[in-house]
Amino acid sequence: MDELESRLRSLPLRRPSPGLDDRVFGSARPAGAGAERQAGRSPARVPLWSAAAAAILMGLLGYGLRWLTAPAAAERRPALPIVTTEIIVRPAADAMPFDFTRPSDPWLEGPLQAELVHVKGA
Amino acid sequence: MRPGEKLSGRLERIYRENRQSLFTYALSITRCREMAEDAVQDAFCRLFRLDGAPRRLKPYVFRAVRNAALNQVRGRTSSAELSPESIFANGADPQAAAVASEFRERVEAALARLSEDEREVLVGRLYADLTFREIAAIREVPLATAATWYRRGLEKLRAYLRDA
Repeated sequence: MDELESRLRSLPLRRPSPGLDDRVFGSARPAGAGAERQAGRSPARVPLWSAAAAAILMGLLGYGLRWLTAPAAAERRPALPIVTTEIIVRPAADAMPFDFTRPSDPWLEGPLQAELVHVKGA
Repeated sequence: MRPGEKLSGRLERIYRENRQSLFTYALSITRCREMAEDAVQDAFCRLFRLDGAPRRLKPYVFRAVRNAALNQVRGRTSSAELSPESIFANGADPQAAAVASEFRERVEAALARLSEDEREVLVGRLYADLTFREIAAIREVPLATAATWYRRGLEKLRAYLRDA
């Protein structure tokens, strides 16, 4: 190493901030690392008999709760038959109702005749 | 490499042993202290997630920091280039600092006139304590090329300092 290299090496260097270590090692151990380990762990073993007993108990509780909270049976009415009713209204007089030659004449003038027709539907 | 040492442990040891060198190397590329620290952090963030250890870890770490620093430079805004920061600091002693300051400024000006390859090899050799073999591995060039860049850069620096 010559004299110039020695002089160059002697120059003081700018130092990194003290927080750099935390930043570097913070990135090495991400916050999710613990959670990942938790997720990777196998689930706790539960005996089969206790799981079955819990399932039966929950079923009975659910059934009982439904029985307690269910409303009284609603009164059942038979469905009414579908009937179509047509009401035919026409003037009692046998006049042509759509006589546009005489626009001033109201077509439903005078006494009306109504006829009820019941047609049973499907 | 110590026998039985895990990759994370090796990385941590390399970081602690080369903290200043890694920062200086990154700073010589980014010319911005904040970006240099970001580059070191980004590089280690990726390195700690490696599945397998590279054969030669130290040059690999420096190459990762170099690439992260180059990424920082590519992504920066033009306003960040207006006041480039030096790799050199002011000395603690004011009198010594005043004497060193003049030489430091001349060195800075001379370094700025070198090619990027020459400057990077000089900084790596003189201020990051890297060997030519390590520099060649970081830059993925033959050993002779790294040595040539250094020799040529040093001679240019000598000439610039003599003329200044």
